[in-house]
Amino acid sequence: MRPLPIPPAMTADTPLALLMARIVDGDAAAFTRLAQVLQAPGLRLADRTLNDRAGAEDVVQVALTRLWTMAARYDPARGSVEGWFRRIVVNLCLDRRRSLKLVSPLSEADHVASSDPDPFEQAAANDRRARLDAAMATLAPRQRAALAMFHGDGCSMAEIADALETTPKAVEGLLGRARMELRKLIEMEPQT
Amino acid sequence: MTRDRALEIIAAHGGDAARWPATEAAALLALAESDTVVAAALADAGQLDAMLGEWARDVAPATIDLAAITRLPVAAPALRPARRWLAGGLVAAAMAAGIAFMAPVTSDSTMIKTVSPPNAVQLATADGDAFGSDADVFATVFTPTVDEDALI
Repeated sequence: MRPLPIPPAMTADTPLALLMARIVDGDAAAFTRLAQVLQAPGLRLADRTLNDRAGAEDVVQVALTRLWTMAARYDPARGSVEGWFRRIVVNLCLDRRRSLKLVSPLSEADHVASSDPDPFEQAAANDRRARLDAAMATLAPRQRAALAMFHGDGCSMAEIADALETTPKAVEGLLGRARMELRKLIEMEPQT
Repeated sequence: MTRDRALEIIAAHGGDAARWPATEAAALLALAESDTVVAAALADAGQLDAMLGEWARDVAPATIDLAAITRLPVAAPALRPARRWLAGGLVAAAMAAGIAFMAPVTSDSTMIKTVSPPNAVQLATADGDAFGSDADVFATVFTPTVDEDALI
């Protein structure tokens, strides 16, 4: 592990790895700054992976707690702070997978009505979204995590592979199967 | 670029060429111009991309209690691997020394005395004084307890 130099002053542009060096010394302001950067993407990833809002908030709270209490374990030579935090979030989510429940079965999505009094197109979009949410509930947490990282955060295959502790090629297969299953589940009509 | 590989890339990465593997993007785009199956897959992928992008980003923010976290103590830096081995070695050496001191020693305190449990051979060669005949020795050593007898 290479020791990080301690920056003389902290600004909004302070690199996250340098904030980590300050956190190791118990700098609460550096932690708050870092948490502000990581909190939203961490919550998105946890929420989409778990399909459970309350569980996602718990996961982010625990992940940020680990970031604070285990900051000394972060090794900048092994990757970015964001990647390290993503791996913590994903691992916490996957550890909770046994307690996951389907949000709503697909059959229920057939009866989801749009509450928006907009034209037909808006109702159709709402219906597609309801079907997508229901279809997502049937995917494996790892598939949802990969989709959330790829489409939500714009992560590369290598970054997703790092978070899921697998290979980029395996991630490509994971995403391909997930998208194929989703297409079937939501019965998306091909564009003409 | 084969059709199968093109469809594989589109299936996993979607319809945005910017998200495709850099080394294969140009070949895939060229193939899509001449292959109607690939072109159709490309057009379909865009619709799912849009839905997934909205799905992945549309998450309401949460309020995490950061102050509660910073009230917790920060862990000490982890030992480097070499230091971990050194620390482990020291612990092992200390345990070995402790065991050596606690073991029975000979009268001159220089050698550890080996204590062997009594066994049937030693008992049988003890002139029969302690346990009588060989049959008594056998009975003493091999007679089952009440529990063992019940199992038998």
